[in-house]
Amino acid sequence: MCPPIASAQHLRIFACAIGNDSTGAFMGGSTNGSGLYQSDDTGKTWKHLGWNNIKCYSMDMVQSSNGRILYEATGLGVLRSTDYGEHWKQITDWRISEVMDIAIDQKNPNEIYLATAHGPWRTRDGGKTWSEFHNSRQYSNGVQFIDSVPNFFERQLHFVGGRPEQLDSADISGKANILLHPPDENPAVVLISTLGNGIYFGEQVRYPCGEFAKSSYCDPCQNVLPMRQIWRLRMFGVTP
Amino acid sequence: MMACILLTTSGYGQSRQTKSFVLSRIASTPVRNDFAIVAAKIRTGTDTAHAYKQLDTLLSRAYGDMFWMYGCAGLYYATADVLRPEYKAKIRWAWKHHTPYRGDTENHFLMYYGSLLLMSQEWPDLPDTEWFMGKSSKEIYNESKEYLYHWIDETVRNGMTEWSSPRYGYYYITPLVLLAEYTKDTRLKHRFEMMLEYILADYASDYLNGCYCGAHSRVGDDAAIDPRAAEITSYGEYFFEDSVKHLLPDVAFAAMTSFECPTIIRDIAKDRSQPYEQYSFKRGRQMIRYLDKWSNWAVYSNSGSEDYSHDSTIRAGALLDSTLHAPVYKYEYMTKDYCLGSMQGGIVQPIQQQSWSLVFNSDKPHNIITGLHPYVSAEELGMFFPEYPSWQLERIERVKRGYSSEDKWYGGSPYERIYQDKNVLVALYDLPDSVKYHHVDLFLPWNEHQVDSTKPVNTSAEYIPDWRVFKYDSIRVGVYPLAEFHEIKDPNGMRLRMSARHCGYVIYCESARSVSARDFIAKLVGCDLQEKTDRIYSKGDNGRTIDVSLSPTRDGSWLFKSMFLKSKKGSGILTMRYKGEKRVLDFRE
Repeated sequence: MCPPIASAQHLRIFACAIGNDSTGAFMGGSTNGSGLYQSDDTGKTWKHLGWNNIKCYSMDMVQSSNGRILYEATGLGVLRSTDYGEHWKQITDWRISEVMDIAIDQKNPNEIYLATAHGPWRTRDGGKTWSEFHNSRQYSNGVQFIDSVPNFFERQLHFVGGRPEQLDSADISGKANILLHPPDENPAVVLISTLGNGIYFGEQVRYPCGEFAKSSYCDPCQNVLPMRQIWRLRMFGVTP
Repeated sequence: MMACILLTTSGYGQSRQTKSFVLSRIASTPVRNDFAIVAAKIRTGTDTAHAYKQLDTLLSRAYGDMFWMYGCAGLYYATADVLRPEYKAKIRWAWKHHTPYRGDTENHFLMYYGSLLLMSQEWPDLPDTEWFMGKSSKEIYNESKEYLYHWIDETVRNGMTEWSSPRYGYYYITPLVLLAEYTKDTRLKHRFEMMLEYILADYASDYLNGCYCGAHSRVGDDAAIDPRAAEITSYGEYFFEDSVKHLLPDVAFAAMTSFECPTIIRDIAKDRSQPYEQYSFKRGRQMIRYLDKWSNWAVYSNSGSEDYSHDSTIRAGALLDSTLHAPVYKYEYMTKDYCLGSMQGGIVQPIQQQSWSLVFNSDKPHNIITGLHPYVSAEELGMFFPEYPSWQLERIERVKRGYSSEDKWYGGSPYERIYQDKNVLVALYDLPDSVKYHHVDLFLPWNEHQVDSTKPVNTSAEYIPDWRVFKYDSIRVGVYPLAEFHEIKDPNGMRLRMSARHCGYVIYCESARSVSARDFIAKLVGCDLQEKTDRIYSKGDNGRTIDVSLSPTRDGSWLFKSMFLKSKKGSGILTMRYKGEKRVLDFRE
């Protein structure tokens, strides 16, 4: 079983799955079970939210809504839910595809920025209208606010500094995202999303040093989370 | 101006017998997971119990994609007057709850938005809560219409991006057949009819006795060395031959519509009494990464050196356009006995590109000669797909089996340059150390074709090897490898493999009717091929047999230019001509 992880704050983790190991799970295809997953017990169990046949690259939420308003960045554009993920509406049109990342201006949630494979896009009216940002077609797969300014970039694969034995295998090659909480050298929680073997997590580990042995692959995740290609993890503090 | 068809004369031809044959053949096919088969059974009242049971299965899937969508829409419309009401309700339910995948290619989007246009037309007043994506019927209809207008406009003005595809052409024709038949808006319907004709005319001009000739953006595994095995052959036979041997289920959708191929398009497909050249301009798949690398490759592939100032392609600024599509200069030389066709080389489509082929007129399979450098790299994948390039390369075999193979028969290479003048083709390769495979392969069919191979002596040239001469049914072919090669037996013929860093070959062909074996060999022996910086030519007869420019003028101002088809880039007009007939597709509005 996955070890319980104590935390003063309630954490909600989202896993963005783009496919599993079946044929056609990427490059023009997607498979049943891909999409967005949510865990409220730090990775022990997961539930699927919304569409289950899309490449989910990233997500964001209006944090003041405490998880009620969610945005999903997908291969076919952006989906929005205003009821904790029960119902979803596509808020982009045919012009926008392969949305690799999304960032909401938390001071003005009507302003949303998209990093797409075909260039950045922006809406200033909560998704009613979209326009190309900077008139650029430059590929980017990351966008985040730095000093209130949206910055677009190409996110690279991360690798842990010390590779513990159980992670040092072909299965975990191609790690996509590492999430630390809190984000320092002694995080209470470390999660690693992989592009082939689900999610790894550990507690009270010294990241990024080699003592990562406490991290373990969560078998229950494998069962609950059929998608193995996790593009990104995101973690938010919410009120239970 | 209204989009319109202007014609001086034109009849139509699709016999009732052929439609009836297709429909009954598909209806009698054992039921399987295919909407077209189920639709044909319901339409004709054949085995309906099994058909409805299968329809339950097709509608019960909790997911799907654009292939599911167009099949479902096609069945709904094609059987509208006989489909049991509870199944109409089930289909409605499916479009509310299933979340089909949109895909990422031009054919995917046509299927996706074409299907949505038809289904939102059928249920025009539903609120956003009644559709899987949370948009209202009006929003869906307007968005679909906008995309389809955009796609048509881009294609007829600037060139197709999934061009000349023996595999995916099938998935253009089927949704366009459905849209042309069932769209209620008359202006829109007319536009779809014209677009269907446009696609068929494009296909017809490259058609030779059931085979899609020339270079291809995306070819399937089998069809790469067996043209008639392509999916689109079903439609070629249906529309051009009025007799279908290679029958696939979607043709039943066409047979259930009133659409008939104009006879002028059939004539263009069938009449090979006069040889002709066709120049056409297409576009590559939109690129997303490594644009600078592609530009370097393009320069390289067009010039073979860093000094490319002499090359007209480069001088014309023919690199990526503003929407990051690469230019594709396509050229065919078509005769009654063969078609030699090519594009300029390089990579403009990932994985499935076929850069040149020589298809000869034969009823036997594997009637093709083609060649390539088997290029495999993360850069190629990352150039067109958004996921991490190295990860894509690790996983590619699960999706496109054979991509990583050293023996594959399709795929472009940035280190390939192709030049052609009528019946002569020159392919040159300069392989850097960094490539995974350091060889170039040439496919020569073997089985079932009458072949005689002769090795005349010609050691006077600076090239190491000699001409190799073959006769394949209707043609004689001379192959002049530009480096040492060895033969490898292939299940369907022979593989000539060259492994030199700088290598290539010259292909020369003629109709077997017009030249005897002796004269053909004598002509090649007398060639004394010479390679200069700007041309390869037969010194022996002062360039009369072979004279191919290595710095050709590649004209991108025509989308089509041949005796049958003309379309000036940007015009939005395609003019078809056959003898005294003329048919104009005018897409301007």
